Amino acid sequence: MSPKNSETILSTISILGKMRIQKFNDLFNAIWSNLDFDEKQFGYFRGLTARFLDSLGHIEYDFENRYIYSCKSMLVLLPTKGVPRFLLTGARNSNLLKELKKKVKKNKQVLSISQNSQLFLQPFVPSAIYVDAVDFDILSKIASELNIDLLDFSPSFSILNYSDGIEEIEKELRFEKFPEINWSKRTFSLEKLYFTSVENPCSSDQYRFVEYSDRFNSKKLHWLWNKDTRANTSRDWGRYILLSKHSRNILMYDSKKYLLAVPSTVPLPILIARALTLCTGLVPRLLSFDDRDYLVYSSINPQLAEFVGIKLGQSLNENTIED
Amino acid sequence: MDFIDWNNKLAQYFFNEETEGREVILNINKKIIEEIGPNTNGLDSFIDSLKQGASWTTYSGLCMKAYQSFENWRKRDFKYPPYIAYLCLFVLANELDGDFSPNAYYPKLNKLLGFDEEAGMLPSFDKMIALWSDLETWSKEDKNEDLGSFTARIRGGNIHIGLPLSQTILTSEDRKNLPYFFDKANFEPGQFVSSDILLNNLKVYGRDYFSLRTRKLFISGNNEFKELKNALIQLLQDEIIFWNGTIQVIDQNSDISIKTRLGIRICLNIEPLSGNITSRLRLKFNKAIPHSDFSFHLKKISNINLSCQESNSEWSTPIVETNSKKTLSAFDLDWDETCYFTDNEDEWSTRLTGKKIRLFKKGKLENLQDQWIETLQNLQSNAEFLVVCNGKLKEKITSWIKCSCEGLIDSRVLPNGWYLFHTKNARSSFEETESLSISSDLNVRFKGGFKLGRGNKFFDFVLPKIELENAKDEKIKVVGENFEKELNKIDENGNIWTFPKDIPTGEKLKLEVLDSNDEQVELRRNYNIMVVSESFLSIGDPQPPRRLPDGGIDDTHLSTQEYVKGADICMEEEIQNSFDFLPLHLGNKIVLIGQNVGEVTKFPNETISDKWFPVWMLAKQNRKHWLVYFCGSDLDTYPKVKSSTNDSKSKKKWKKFLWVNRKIHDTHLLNLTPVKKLWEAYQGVAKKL
Repeated sequence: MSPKNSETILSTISILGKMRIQKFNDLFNAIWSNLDFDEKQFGYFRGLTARFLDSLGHIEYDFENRYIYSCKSMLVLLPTKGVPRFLLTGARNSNLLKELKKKVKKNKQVLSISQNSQLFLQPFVPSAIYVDAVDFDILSKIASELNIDLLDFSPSFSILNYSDGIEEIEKELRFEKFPEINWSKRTFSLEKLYFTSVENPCSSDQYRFVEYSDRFNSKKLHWLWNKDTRANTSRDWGRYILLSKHSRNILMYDSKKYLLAVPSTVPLPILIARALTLCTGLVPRLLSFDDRDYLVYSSINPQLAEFVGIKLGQSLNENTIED
Repeated sequence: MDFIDWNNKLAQYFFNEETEGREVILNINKKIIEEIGPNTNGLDSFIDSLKQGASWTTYSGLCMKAYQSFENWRKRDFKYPPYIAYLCLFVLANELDGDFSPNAYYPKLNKLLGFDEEAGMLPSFDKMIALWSDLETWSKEDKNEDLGSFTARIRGGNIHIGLPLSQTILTSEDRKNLPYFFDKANFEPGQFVSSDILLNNLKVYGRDYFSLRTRKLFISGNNEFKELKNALIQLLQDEIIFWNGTIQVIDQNSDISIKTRLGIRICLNIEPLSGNITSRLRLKFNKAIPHSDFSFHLKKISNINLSCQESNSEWSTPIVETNSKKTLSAFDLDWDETCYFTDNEDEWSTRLTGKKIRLFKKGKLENLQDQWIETLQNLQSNAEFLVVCNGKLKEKITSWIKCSCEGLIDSRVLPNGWYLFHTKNARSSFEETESLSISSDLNVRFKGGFKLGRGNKFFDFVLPKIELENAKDEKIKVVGENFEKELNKIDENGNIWTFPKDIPTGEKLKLEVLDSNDEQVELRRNYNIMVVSESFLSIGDPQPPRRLPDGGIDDTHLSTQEYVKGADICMEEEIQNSFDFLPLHLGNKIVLIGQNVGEVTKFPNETISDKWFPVWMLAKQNRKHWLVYFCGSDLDTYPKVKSSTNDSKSKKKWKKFLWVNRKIHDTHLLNLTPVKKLWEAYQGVAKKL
């Protein structure tokens, strides 16, 4: 396997099973060093790669505790019309792929296997491997022989339903009086839509969202400040709570093309991103418009997009997205 | 705690994940014993358990019990060698009262064991050499340094006493003080320091950071300690490589904070055509990266904000002025004076040390775009390099290059008035500065690659490069059981090698350095590696934690009714999937075709009708390539000739997309027999229209 092979990162994680983020960083760096990308994108692409592997159901990325876990190999149904199409998620290596291809080929009358390269971060994120099945029983037998779990329903909607929405998250926030701590901190800018070390010009605002870094072990804390009280929350949800408090709607939706665009600096909370990614097995593309970079999810029909908007406390901005 | 409990706890204390690849010394003391056995009588319990010995030992006498524990221990399926506790005891005897005179050793050991102090050497103490030697074998060969690397060294002239004494080259306190010493000496984290420079700094600053016993090693001219002095130097050199730059600082209020020291380098870029030179500054890290984005300022000019980001795991992007986004030119700084940079929270700092001479090596070996990067290494004799000096040294450097280097490739005046000389293959040092001294320390470093664990097992998808610091005309060979090959030198004027492409996987391999006469050179340590291939490794047993509804992680592994793990979901309430949709992402332009003749929609130009359901989807990949996809809900949806519309235009379109355009259809997704049959039925109807 070469570092240019998009399977390399996933197969390595699958073999190791569980790894510290530092080890994942070393792995990403080893691959990166053999490719020719703009060096300024290093940290951004590395973070996105971990997120995308998580959204595709290959790994669980524990951002807070700085660990990555591989998930069990699984074929999951995609919510697309036509012949039932299953996406291979979770752990895999070249041997598993070889065996799966061999067994599907033996049953080519009723099963077929295909592969779609990702349109973004291709050398780092593995292709989507699909198995189309007219005969579910045969697929089930093959999966069992290869120790692959099989999910006979599409998990997208269920995961979205399982995920908390902004209301549930807000209900759990416990605001307490607390002095500011002397840690390295960055404040989320409502205008720029990213964390910045420059003191927030709107620091007098009622709500502020601040990221603190533990200088010793790189662990992060995320506090939502309401004047002089603070509540602990996750980085992903904290941003959307702040945006909702300020009625700032940032999601773009093209209802004609079924495209949902999310500013790249405000990624979706992990379960919502996973629900959308598991609609197609493809990671969002990075597109630039309106002076901002967006992660654009495809095949998101209006009902699904609206459900996402409700979960995030966002009204969708209808827009034509040129892709 | 019985003997095995003490043994395993001590073994785990010294050999663990944190010590992987690093030299382990059994620098035991009473405090460690008490820490390891908190609910015991400490030292007394420890010694009693050793006198008692392992359950299977039948011999009497402490050393014979130790020897019997060692005999055939691998067959007993222990995680750690079941004699480490005895070796610790032998070291402890010397730790009890500071001095390390070999003459005092046996009385101290006897006293510790409650024996007659004058009794001399313990019976069978000479057999213990086998245990020391086996510990080295276990750590280096059995474990491939995954839990650390132990070397059985002898301190002084007496082989038996010298083995435990060698474990006391550095006390626990000395080891804790190392980061402060490195910081004081201005060593850069991860940067190899030559023995001469290290020794000089030990002599200058050592008093504040090392015990008298350790200092005796590096200040003594006694030849008896020569080997241990070298061992100490090597140990410190390794520790600098592993040091991530962090030090604990306690302020006046006794508050503890962690500060990180980073490196910083001047980088020069010489445009090949115009010859224009630009200079930049980059931060250099060694494992500890406080942020992915850095905001900081020059200590004396706090109003200019600077920033940079990670460029890879070792380097930042060039430093820019935050507001103007303009790259900071290193020519704007005074290169004679030390410049201090610190972040806004005083969390990390770095200093560009003022120098009169700066040395640059090629940047491509560091995967950087800059052509030349300042190096703090010694001058490499077999390499191309730039030397940059201020005006006062211009003449001296010019004549040194004339006498000691192989030609002058380029020379010029830099925008800051300094002089640049481009030359190669220095034969002798420029005596006035350490940075242009040629060192004879041969040092092997692995650059890049990705390890399976923490030892020296590398994945084959990206093998490390080997840097042989201070190489002249050496060669490097990799030797296995049935394999022996030379490594390939990347650049004639450099000291980096790559492994041969046919290097075997799954086999223990040894690196050997050969001199110009093909004689093997003795290195500071053995360098063993193993290359592993992903195709020979199986997927582990994934144990992912549960993802909670708020997106957090629950790693308690408690069984619950509801969970999400990756794509797997289990919920008490059955959710109906109400979102089966068309895979519109397959193309920018889509044609949808229904069951009845004339049912055609061009998406996105036309709205998808809710009066009929598409059966086929044609997704445009390019003008002559349309992907055909079955999107119906039933494979019995055969075409209906009776048109749902009288619109002849729609009928024509239905025929066109199904039959007329057949040469540009890509039907590879229709290879399932029932789908193919259905498609052919549609084409048959369209053909007849």
